Amino acid sequence: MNQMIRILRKDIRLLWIEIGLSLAALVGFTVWEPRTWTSTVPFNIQSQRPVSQTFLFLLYVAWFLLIVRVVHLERPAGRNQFWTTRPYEWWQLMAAKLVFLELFLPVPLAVVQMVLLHQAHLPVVSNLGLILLNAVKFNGCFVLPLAFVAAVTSSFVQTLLVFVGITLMFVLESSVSWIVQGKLTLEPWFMTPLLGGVCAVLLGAALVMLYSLRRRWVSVCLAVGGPVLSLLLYVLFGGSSAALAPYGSDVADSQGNPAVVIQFDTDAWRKGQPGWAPGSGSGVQVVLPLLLEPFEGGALNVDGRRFTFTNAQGYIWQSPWLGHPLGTSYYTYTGSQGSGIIAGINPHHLREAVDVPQKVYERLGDGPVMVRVELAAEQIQKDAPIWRTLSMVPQEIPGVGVCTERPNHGTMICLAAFRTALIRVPANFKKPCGDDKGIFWQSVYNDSEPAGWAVSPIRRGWMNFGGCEDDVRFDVFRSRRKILIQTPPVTIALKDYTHTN
Amino acid sequence: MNDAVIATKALTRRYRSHTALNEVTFRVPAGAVYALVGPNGAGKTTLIQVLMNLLPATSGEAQILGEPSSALRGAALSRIGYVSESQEMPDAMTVKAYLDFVRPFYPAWDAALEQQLLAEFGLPLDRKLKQLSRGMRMKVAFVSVLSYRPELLVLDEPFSGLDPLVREELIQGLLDRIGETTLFLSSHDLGEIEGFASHVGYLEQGSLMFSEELTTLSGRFRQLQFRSGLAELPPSLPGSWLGVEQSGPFVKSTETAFTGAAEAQALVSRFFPEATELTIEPMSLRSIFLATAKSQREQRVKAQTGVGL
Repeated sequence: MNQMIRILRKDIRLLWIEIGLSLAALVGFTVWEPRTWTSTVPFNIQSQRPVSQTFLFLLYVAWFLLIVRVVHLERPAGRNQFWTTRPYEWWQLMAAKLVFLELFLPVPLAVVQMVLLHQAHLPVVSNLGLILLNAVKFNGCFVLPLAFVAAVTSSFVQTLLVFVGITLMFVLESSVSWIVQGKLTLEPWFMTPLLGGVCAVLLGAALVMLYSLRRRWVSVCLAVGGPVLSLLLYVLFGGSSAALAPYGSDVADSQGNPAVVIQFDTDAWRKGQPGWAPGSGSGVQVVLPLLLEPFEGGALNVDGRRFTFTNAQGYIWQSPWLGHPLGTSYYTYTGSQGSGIIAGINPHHLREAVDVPQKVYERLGDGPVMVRVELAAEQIQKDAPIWRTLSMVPQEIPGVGVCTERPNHGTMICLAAFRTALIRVPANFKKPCGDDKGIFWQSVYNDSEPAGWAVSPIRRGWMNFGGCEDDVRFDVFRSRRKILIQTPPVTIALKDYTHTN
Repeated sequence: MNDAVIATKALTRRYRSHTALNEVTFRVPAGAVYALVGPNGAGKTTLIQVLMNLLPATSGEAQILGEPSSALRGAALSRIGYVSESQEMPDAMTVKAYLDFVRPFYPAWDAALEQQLLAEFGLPLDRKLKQLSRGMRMKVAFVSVLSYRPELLVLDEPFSGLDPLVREELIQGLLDRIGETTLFLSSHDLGEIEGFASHVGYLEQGSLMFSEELTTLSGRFRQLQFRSGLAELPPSLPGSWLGVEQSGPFVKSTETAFTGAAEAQALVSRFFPEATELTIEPMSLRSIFLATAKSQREQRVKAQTGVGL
């Protein structure tokens, strides 16, 4: 322990400039960021806050410097550093570096996030869990991987090049995944924590190996093993039935969730229409129009789908469980007081597309083919409406955040902590001027932080409205349950639903 | 291997197809000043790095202070001092901060000795290491290892590139402590170690050509010169001779197994019956090193070209 403290004190003394820079950038961001909350520009929010974005950029640069410098003061890579032949206990050295990183990265970040939450009139204590979760993600996705890269490289330039290389690799991987539609496979619910856990364990083992035995390439292999194993798990479980574990039956239940019924849309003019998103280009794209039976006060978020085709000769082709081609999902909403579109897509009609391999398509033939579509979806239900009198004094609206009316009476800004996980449709409200006068808006939450963690805990929703009264009704939608829906089988001629560009 | 401070057995280190150390076996007894010599690229630094557990051995074994070198880490290093010409120091630290930092790592740190060495070397405590000259940095490195009176001091080319004055100061600093520590140092400059080495090992192309006490080595190497009485060298020559050359009527050779003048005279007479004017000269370490290196090089060329085989 004494060694750890000595190393820690020495590092703090040597890196006070880097520490000061990172803290200054963090404070600068904290001071400037709240000023952007009152902006009434909903889109391109990043471009509307150049000062705080500059501080954010400086912050990442300072963090990068801090991580690399502290690791390189006693880096495990190489054989010429003074410490390698000194009686350092490896675990004390590693602990000193980890404590340093925690002390000057996640801890100040968490403090700043508490300050920002307080400034946004959001509860701090009840959000401590989210702050902690954010810190874990920040550590796992940024601090530790970068520290590892620094630890296996022997100069700052080398670290920078490797870091840029890894970033490019991820960009390339994303592009390739998109091209081959690899990401479209429905993932089991446990995939993200499992992959995260696997990567974290292997990265931890690599760090221990690096500091204890200083075997650089063994450590690199261990660390690279994380993503490789993740890929393997993805191949093994992605698109498999394991993905369906959380999805239950689509029947109505005692908690007021209505049944969801989807059937094939036999409307003739829908034949041959394109899907919502272009196909992968491999095989033949078959687009199947579906019709959602309206259900009260609900919306549907389709997570994944599977297609089964059976021809007259008994040949069956079944696709794997596929994610949604738009990358996330879409909503269908019907039956509330007044009707509207939540995500801007036709409310009743779905068009589910699948790329059928050319050989399979030919084998299914021109004759009648029985089609069945299974949908794994999240059922979203509307909460009891919340009435509020709009005011320029911030007020909390459950499920939405802390909202304030702007002086021009045409805009309302709501601030929420981190991602509003339960609110798939953050807020929907209208002026009580009668349905014909009421106007709906949806909030746009700023979710543009890097995936996994956030510097600012505040998500901003911006709403415009017009109307006659100050009393506003909020319709907040929450995820209720995950369900598996099967369309009744229908026999079609496949070529009628084949989309050709 | 038990009574030796350093002992290796068939120690080998390979980098893919290149063999940097080839079955190196030697021992360094306690209290010795062992000089590892050899030309640049002979494998001296590799050997030291394997001994210090900075590099893993491919095969063979090495023991340092009775422990396997592969287990050398943590507290075990508090008994060993290591200084290398290529060692990186925490440049942003001042001399004082650096010594203050390393001092608590060593239970046996002698603060009085530290002060004495600082005074001897004239080190400025408030200067940052990056502001110091190479010689001054080396002095700091010496203070930081001599102050805890290590049982073993390992020095890798410690005087390389230093001006003669600094080199002299450092050597004097070491000489003052000989006896209380075992010294193992590498060098390709024989002049600097000849005065105080008690043992010497000669490494060439990763192979240890010899490893013995300096007195034994000096005793068995002799420069022979005689008038041969033959027009050219006979096809067969004594196996213990290196670098046999004929220059006019004279033959010059290095005897590597000298036991006495009479025996040398007899050996010469056996291969050169008409030999006269035999002179036998003791050799400096530099001459021994050069003769051995030259002979090895000739053998290598012969092996590669086939000439002379």
